[in-house]
Amino acid sequence: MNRKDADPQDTSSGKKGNPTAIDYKDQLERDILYALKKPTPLYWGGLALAAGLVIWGAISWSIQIRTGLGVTGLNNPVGWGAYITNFVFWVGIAHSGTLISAILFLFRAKFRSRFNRSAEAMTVFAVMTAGLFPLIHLGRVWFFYWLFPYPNQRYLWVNFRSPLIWDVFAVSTYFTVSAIFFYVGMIPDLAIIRRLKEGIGKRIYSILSMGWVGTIKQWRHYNQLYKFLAALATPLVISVHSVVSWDFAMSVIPGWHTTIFAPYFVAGAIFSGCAMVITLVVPMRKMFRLEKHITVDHFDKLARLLLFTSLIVGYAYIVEYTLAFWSGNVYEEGQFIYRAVGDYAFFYWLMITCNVVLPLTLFVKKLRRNISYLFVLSLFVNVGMWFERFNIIVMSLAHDFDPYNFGFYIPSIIELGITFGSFGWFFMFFLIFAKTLPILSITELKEEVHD
Amino acid sequence: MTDKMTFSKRAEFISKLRELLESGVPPKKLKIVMPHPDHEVDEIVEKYVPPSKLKYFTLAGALSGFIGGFALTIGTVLDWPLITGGKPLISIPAFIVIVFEMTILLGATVSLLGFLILSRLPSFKSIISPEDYGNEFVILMDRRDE
Amino acid sequence: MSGIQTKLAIAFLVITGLIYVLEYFLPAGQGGAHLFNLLFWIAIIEGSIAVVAVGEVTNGKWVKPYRQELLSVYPLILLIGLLFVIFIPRLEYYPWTEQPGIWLNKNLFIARHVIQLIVVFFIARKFARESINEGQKRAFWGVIYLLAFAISMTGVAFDWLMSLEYPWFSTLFGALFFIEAFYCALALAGIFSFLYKAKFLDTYGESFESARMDIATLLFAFAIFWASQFYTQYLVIWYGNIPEEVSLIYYRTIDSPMREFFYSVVAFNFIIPFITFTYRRMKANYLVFLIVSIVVWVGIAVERLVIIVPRLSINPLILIVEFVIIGLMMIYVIRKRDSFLVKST
Repeated sequence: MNRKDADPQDTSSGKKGNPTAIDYKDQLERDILYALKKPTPLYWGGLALAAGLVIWGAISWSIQIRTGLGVTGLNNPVGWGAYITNFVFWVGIAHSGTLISAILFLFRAKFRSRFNRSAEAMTVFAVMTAGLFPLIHLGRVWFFYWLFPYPNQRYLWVNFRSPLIWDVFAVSTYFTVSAIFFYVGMIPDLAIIRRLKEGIGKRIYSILSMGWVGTIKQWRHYNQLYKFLAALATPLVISVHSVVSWDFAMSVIPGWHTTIFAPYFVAGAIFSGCAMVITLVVPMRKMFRLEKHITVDHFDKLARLLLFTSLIVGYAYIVEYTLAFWSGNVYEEGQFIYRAVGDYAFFYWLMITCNVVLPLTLFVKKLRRNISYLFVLSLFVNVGMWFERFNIIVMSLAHDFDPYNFGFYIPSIIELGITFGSFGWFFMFFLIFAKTLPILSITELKEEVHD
Repeated sequence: MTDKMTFSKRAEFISKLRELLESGVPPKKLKIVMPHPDHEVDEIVEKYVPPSKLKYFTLAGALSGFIGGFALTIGTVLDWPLITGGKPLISIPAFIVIVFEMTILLGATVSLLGFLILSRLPSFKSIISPEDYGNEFVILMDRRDE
Repeated sequence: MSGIQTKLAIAFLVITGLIYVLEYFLPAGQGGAHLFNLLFWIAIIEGSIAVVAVGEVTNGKWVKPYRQELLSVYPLILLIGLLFVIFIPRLEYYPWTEQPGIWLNKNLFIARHVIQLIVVFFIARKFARESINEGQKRAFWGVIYLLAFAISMTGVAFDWLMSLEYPWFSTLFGALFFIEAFYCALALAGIFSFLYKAKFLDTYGESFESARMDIATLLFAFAIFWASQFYTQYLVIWYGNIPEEVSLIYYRTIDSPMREFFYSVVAFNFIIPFITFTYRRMKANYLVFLIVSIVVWVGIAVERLVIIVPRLSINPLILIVEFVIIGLMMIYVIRKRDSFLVKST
């Protein structure tokens, strides 16, 4: 009983009165199919803008490959700058997706089902973006394969004691598992789109869904797989950003050598990722008319998660700051005074405002339920979290032990180009995803009708 | 020949399924298709079919990742012993990170493999001519031996 | 109501007197036993209320059967306050008393902790009453309590425990302490599951079984979480290899029996709960849950001892006697919970 004859553009809610479960399911499919319709000029404009940024980034990178890392602002002592900031930022964004998909699944939080498809897509694309940066930062990117342990005629193996190699393993694992999780979650939905499409579209989605039928045997294995993937992805989320934080914590310079980095970074990652989910879902919901499926209540719950992680990040700032003075260690004290009043003080206070002060407003219920407010706040948080990474990296390097070794760093135009290019790359993939793959987890929403 | 029973209401489907299974119809003869998974159906069916074997795949993958991680790190450092940072050659605290990541990587990939094998996916027959039943619950009963 | 309050007040004063005698009139070394008991019990007490607070804030069904039992420990915060006051003479053994700073000086130390314990007591009491009455504002007070819990536990960890090793510091120490507090409290819920099994099944039926499985799963998750944070702290110290920091681990792993105790911490807090609870059948078994909970308590206790003992000598006998006294007091308070913590109709 397929409603092929029904108008896919009709987004009014099914039958009047008491719509049955099957009406809701059909309506849901129509709503999702509406999102997959031919793109509007607005969409093409957004895609063109993203592509333009990617081209700017690509040109910048090609200049860097031709000339060398000298075109960046990197120097001695600040050998890590905008690229590592971007790397940590994008890996952080990725974590929230897995949190929403996997961890909230294990906690049986219902509101997750409205966000998890977009969040999982965000994860995969953010990891892809993050993965570019170790390559960019290598300079001689053509030697990237040296990072993997393979037998070679130089008899050299990678240094497994180095946090940079831990990064390679952690981020590769994270990419693989997120991609698997993303794809597996989509198989039943791809089968739905296969049913609703004709011609070449039907063929493509048929291949993508691997011939999924939905027999009970398949569902049982599928449920087990999903549970195991969620159980595996949960420690993965915590470990990957811990490993990334250990890039810094394994050193000995003040501001970097501190034990709280692992949970602090993980909380910060979830924080920035939730903000990015809001940034992506609010416009998407409007453009694809999904207001019925993603309601204010769902955003309320997401805002609470944002608030919670903001409190953890605030706690970490306070603990780090006060313990530096507790210890009486002149280098720690010097670093933290530098953070507040030194060369980059403006960015420090920007970070505090965006990450700690502004999210406190989410204690107010009215503001949590105001979607425009959440959108604007999420933009501030994204900026604040980018600068948090920048501050941690650059300020500790610029002001470590010996005053003779103090320095200063400004990103060059090449680094700026690549930074904006990375944002373009991410949004480009997300826009393509929004038009080709189901943006809501249709099957999970159908399952909920009976709950 | 196959009997095809379609239901648009979940309650009818569950009562018919329960009726069929309790009357002794072997589960092998039933092909049940659902638009989405369902807890209650799982509870009914698990009394008649053995549980999914996927967990063995996951365990095998995770264990091989665990052992493989140690093998890779310890093996390579003994093959070309290079002291870095004053750390011992076989530095277990550092290697645990690699071991952990490999455990999860192999656990997840082998689980996926197990799922594909157990569900007989990708199924070329179904890709070429997909079976679609829409939002209805379907029970196909194989009546060939009767 | 005030009958039970008077009884508890008298009991607390008696216990404080007893412990004062034990500590200062018997050879109790440098008061390590006293500090151990302060740290161990404050974690369990504040942690139990925190578990319920988390349950209320997230609207979890799993907290309902355990609510009254877990919340009923809140009066003991005052006992810890009293015991802290008689600990004050021992502060001279802390390394910073010779060169007091702005933060670490005796007067401010005493003042802030006495005030902090009193404030946490009142917030805990308010939250406990809201929660047991299923009032409208229980999520709100839950949040307030959790903020107070985080600040209190962090302060206790840094001031009472970490400052023993002054000038060493670890920014993760406070967080690790309140994760352990939460962990211990979940273990306490596991102990309750065994002790009050009949009563819970009677009152709550099916929902108790699922709540218990949830607590067991949470315990499993916290075993992993604890291990990851413990490892994080260890890894940063190990990798940096800075002499001032490494000395902390060095003195605790160089000789037996300290070394065995140090490694046993990982075994009790992580390996045993992790391996046991991987099996669903084990999670469903009440006795196994009880044993794992006790193992977790032992693990946390040993961890405290490992940090305290090289700095403040203990008398094991006095430690056990104090432990038992406070434990009995806690049992008494929990048994009397119906007198001060019931739903008012």
